[in-house]
Amino acid sequence: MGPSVVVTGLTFRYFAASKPVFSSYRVNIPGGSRCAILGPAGAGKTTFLEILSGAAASHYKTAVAEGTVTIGGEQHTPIPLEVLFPRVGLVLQDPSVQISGIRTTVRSEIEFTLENLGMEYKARAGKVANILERFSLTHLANRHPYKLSGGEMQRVALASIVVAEPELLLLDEPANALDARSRKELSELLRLLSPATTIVFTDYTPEFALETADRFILLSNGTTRFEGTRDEFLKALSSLSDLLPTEGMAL
Amino acid sequence: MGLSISDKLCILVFFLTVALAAPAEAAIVSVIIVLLGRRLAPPFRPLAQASGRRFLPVFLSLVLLAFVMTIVNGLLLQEGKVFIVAGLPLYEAGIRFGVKTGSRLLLIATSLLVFFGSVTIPHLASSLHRAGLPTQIVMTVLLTVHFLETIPERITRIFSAQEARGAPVRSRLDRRLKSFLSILSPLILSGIVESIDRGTALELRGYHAGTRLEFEGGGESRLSGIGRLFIVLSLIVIILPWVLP
Repeated sequence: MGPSVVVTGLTFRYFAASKPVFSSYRVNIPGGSRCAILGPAGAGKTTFLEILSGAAASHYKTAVAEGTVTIGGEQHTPIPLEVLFPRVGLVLQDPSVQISGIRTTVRSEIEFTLENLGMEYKARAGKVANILERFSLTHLANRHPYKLSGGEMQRVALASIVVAEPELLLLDEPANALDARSRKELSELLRLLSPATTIVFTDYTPEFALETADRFILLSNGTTRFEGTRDEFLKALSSLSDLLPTEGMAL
Repeated sequence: MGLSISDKLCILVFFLTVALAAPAEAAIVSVIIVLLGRRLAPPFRPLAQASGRRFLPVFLSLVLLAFVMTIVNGLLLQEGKVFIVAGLPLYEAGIRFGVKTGSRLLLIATSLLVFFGSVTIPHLASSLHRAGLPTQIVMTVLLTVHFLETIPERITRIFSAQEARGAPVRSRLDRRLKSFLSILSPLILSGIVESIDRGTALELRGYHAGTRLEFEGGGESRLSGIGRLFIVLSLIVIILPWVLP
């Protein structure tokens, strides 16, 4: 079972004098769940994932934070101060940025992660073969990672993080720019990864979330407007239409 | 005849030294040798069709630049004989200086273009790593080259975006130049943003200062030793006259 994520009293500013992205924010994500964090642009979704992964403290040196983030019983006060990979893996919004650009095949691109972790060649080969199969990438193993379709590239970016077996997997708008088929494939992949891995992903429309998640959080201006299960979210959806585009959705 | 990347690197260093240390005549002859090498010697032919296609326009632009440099220097450095060309007074000293500088620039740029067109980046990285360069420096080289590779695509994208907003990107030269200036700031900004994102992405995949990586690439060819010796001797021949009284 993946770890739970408990955030209490989180206040986060990019600069000491700037408006807080989060103010006394609290949230509880059960272990092993597939949690969708929804909300309009600027709601703080990406920042939240960066905080959980440790990238926020590591990269925004001017940031000021208060509160506590607890991941699977491990408390970080106020927030994780360094990147928590491989325990926590973050898949960025743009897969072309996540792909290193220094490897010429999908296979070696995925292997790059394991090399970073200091894994020996024999152990790496088995793991990479396994992940290629699980992510239906075996037939693309010798292709250049930059010469793939958007959906395929997204799968490679995801595989390059999942190969390290993170307990908590964070995805920033993973369904962004994917066609319906690729979205369905991604949804199935994420379902297979849980409950061994806790999955937290962001999106600005509820469509992919409804296909994938079992837990829903609606963020707006750094505060929770809704938190609950799939059934509770479906019931509340009409009252949340000011924050979520639901037109034309088959519910 | 197969040449390893280190052989090619030695040959590149040789031509760069000729460009920097030898007389202009040697630079002009070297440009011709480099062009013939690219045409006739298989190890120096471009590996990708795209780099093959881009070579001629880039080379012609460099020739034009060298020509403009000669004319400008001929006009500004007013010493020696005067030649009247198309009503313009061009001075001998300026023309000589322009030809010298232009031919050197042409040789440096052409040899770099031919070298990078005929090697794959992973093989170059592998070769640098085998030569003893630390992982971090090899990574920096790889990421820089990757970034440079993406620049033409970025420029096209920004140009299309500007054109869609009505910018006169395909009209008169002066207007085109003006619109080119307007793509510089998005180009630089997007480059900075992507560099930061790429750094974050690498860290998020466990890359850190102590990481030991393996680099893809082929082995050395038997000519390596001979190639290196030839280059070292050539460098001595070129540099010696500058050092000796």
